[in-house]
Amino acid sequence: MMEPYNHIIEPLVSNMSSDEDKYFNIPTNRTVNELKKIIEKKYPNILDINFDQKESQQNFWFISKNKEEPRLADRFEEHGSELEQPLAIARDIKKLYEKLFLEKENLTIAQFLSSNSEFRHVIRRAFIVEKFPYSEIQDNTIGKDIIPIDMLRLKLSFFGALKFDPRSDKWLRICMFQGAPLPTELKNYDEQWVYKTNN
Amino acid sequence: MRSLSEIETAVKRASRAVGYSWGNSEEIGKSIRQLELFGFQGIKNLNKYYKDKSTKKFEDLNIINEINETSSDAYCPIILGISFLDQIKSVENFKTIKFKKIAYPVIFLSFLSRASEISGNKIHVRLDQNEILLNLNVNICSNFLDQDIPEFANEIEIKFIDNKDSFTESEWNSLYKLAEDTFVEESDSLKEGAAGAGLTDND
Repeated sequence: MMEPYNHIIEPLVSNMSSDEDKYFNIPTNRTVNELKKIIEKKYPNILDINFDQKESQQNFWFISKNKEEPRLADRFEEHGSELEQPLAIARDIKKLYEKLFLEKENLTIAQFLSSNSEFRHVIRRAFIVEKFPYSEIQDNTIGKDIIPIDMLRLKLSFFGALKFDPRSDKWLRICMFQGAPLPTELKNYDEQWVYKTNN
Repeated sequence: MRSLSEIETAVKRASRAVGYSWGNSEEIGKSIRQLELFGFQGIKNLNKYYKDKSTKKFEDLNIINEINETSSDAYCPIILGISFLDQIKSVENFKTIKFKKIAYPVIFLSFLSRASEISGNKIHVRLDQNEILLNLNVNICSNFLDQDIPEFANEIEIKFIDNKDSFTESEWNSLYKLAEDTFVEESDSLKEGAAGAGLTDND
């Protein structure tokens, strides 16, 4: 589908990825107050979640030993939550926010990190989200009502998935390029085929 | 051959497994990836360090001063490296930073290399008798040609090198004069009609 339009897609290639390393380092000279402002602006809905309630942290993400893939399980029913992956961003952002309130506003992030290294992963994410608002899912990814296939569908659509066949609320099958013209049909085909396939 | 991405992910997970926070584990993954990219034995040294950690006592240095001495076996190269990265804006004001006893200094070097990039200055490191130049996280030069970096360094000295040209003004002028031979002298008509041209020298 794309190859005949090389002149259109080539300039767009650089927009399909970002230089993540450029923003990996935490700007440790910034202050606690600045970080608090970022969290208030970028994660307002998350700050309203009460993580003392069981259903707000019902699930945990882990890496399956069998398949080396991320999996979701009930924290209170299954074993393994002590090996939880750092994907409970909402819960950890809220914990960080509450901790920041106990600190002096002009304290630098370097000073804060010297005794709070457990927050390092979310501090990094907060500073990245400040620059890139779509860099992550800003929702409670461990809540009782989380539907993993919503996130999967979003991601897979970027890869060109057209048809989604949910097998449960945790996984789905997809179809890519169904209805796309074959090489022999490229001289004469409907340019709108991709949209018609979705009907 | 393992890809750099595989290395970073495996190091991150292994570091979490030995007890570092996720955020610190991410830093370790990034630094060991960089070491391997530069041809240093990052994976090998990290493996040895994690084995040593269970039997020896290494100190976590969270605040870096001009002179740092530990009373334990040695400083942990990881916490030291992360502290150095975090405090780069203050430690770069020190003329010289000295440490006594660092375990697996090659691991510490990976953080210093990244610190060099953040600071925008090259960093000179003396590990006992050996010298290393960290060049803005682009490369690492050292006189460890046919030998591995030792697993322990007793005296470590770090200096930030001021950015200055490696050539004299007359060497620059000489080269610039040659470059001028690619320019075209503007005639009156060119001054009036050439794209970007103006009638006065300030245009």
